[in-house]
Amino acid sequence: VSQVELLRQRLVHADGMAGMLATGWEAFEFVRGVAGANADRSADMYPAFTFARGAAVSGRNAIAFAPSMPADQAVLFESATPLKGDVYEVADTLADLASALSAHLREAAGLAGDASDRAACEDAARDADRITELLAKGK
Amino acid sequence: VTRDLQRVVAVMSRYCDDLIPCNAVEAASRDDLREWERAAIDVASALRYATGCLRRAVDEPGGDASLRPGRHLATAAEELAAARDLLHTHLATDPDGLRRERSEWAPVVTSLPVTRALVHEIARWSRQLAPFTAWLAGAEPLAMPHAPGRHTAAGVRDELTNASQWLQVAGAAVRPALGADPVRAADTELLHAIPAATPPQRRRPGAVAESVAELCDGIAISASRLRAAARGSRERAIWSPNVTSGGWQWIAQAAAVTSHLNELVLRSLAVRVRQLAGPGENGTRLNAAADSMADMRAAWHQVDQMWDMMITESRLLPTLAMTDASDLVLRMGRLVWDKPDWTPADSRHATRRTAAALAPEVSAFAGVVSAAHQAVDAFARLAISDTEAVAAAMRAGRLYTPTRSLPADYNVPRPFAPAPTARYRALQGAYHVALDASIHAAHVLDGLAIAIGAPSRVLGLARAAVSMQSHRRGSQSQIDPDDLRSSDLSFMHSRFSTGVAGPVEQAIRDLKVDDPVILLRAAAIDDAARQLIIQADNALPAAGSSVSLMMAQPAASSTAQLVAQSFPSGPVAERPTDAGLTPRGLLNGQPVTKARPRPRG
Repeated sequence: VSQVELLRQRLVHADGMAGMLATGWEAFEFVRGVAGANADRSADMYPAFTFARGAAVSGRNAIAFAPSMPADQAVLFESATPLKGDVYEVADTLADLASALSAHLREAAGLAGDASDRAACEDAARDADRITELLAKGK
Repeated sequence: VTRDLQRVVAVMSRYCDDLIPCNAVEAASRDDLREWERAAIDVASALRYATGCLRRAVDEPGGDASLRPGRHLATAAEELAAARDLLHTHLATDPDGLRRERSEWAPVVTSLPVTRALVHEIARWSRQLAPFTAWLAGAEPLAMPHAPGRHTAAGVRDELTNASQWLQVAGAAVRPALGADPVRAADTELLHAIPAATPPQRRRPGAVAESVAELCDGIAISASRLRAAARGSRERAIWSPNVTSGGWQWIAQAAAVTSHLNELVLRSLAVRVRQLAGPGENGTRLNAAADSMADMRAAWHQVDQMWDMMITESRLLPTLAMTDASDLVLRMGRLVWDKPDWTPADSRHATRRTAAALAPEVSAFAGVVSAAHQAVDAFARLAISDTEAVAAAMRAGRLYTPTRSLPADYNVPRPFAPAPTARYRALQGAYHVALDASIHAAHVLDGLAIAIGAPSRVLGLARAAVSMQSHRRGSQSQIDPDDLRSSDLSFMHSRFSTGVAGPVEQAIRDLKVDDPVILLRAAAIDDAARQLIIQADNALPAAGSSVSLMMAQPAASSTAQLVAQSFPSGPVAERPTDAGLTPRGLLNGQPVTKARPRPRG
């Protein structure tokens, strides 16, 4: 199972707000690592990957501000194995993952009992949308 | 006429009063004044006397009689006064009477080249006005019919004659200075290029297609606004919650992307030069500039990455600098891609603008190079201000790290912890590399812009001029080398700026040459030599064995000494004295490498 598929499954099966936030953190971290690793592969895609990486950091940090975010250590994707395929396929994969992440974060925001958790999820969802906007092929 | 003439001469006198370091009596006992500073004192004295004569002439009965309306003189007086006010927008006086700089152009206003140009202009106008004033003294009828009589008219005539002679004195007072230190065309060009301190109005990029020239103009506007937005950021970083890690990181991303887009633009121009074969450039210089863009991009990319693990108490709040940087990125992208509404999200769908469309003819090169130059200069300024602002934020305890990103042995029961010193050092190290790369790129583009006569060449001339400060009343005593990274002194951050020149520049100065263009070239040679020495230093064998360690260490040490002695104003020596927190080219204990793989084009 690929890392992307694993993250998708974990988003689907995230347990409560804390689980969703922890998985969201890892998903953003994954996007950050992969976008950073692929930015130099194409002169044309460099701006999109660079700003997508920034949006991933922003989304991850938004989640970190949520009160329900568990304080334990997380997996970092500094040395994430580059995804297979050409740079456009990588962009598509990240855009799809970010789209799913946004949907789950919005769903979590709707269920959140704490206003700060809700705000964090909504902020993070906007960053995920930005990643999709930057990297998706359909425009 | 006499009243308008008196107003013109009075304004000229006030210009000179702005320029002089002291009065004539004090000047006689000073040995640190340059020829043009003494000339300013002499011209100022003569104009003061001329103004007095003209005022008395006006006050005489019938002295303000007109032969015909002095419309031209009145207009000249108003425009000269307005221009002086504009120069004053760059400077303010604090309660202690000391002059404070209010823009990055302030040290240009007080530079010797601008002083030289201004004193020369005023002396030239004095020479023009002297014969006119003499003619006025002899003109008939001097007084109107209702004037009290010939005696009064003679008094007016005497005052006008005296004023004419003082104007001649003012005009002649610059001769020794002109002989010793001629005025350069670049001096006058720089004087005329000084803008008002108020940044231009934002020109929002829309969906309507802009021509290449309009895109270049828009980039220059955004760059100017960015430079203005950078002012005072160090102070704001200490207290303002609006200054956030997200903002700093976004600027780093914008700088990296702008550098990348600049590289694409310059390489496209290099191709076009070969196609057109004749603008005085064979493409080598453009490719060298593009290479410096690649280094700058890599350096800012490092800064971007360093922010991944640091955060302020606020996550991300938009700033003016972000808005202007965003405008700049959009327009740079629209130069590269043939899509009027390009955004970074369009990169995979848009086709590149051809080199011929970017620069259809030779005359178009200057505008495009200017745009690239303006953008680089603005980000070089942001590199300075952000480096200082981040240091101020760290000292104010505003930098944190998400606990989840810390190694497992950090047992912090909270979501955020104060940023570890090692991370901050890595961040500062990355900023310093970005600063050096940005300043180097700005120098390369200074040279290119001057070589092809691009409008932005004044940025290079300004950078060269600020190292030659004139003595002025109320000025701080010369440049403080410890304050060279001040965000208020954009153009100070050059090879020239420390006041301690490199060996080639010093040799040129020893020849009494202070032509900004020649000094720029000398500094560029110093830069190149310094980099060569550093490259040679890096090429020394790795210290793997005890033998190689013994061999390498003395060599490295002596090389470092050579660099330090030969290039005391180099980036290594220019580091801010930031409580010893600054690493020398180390990020996380690893050597910082500027050269990174470039995106495949």
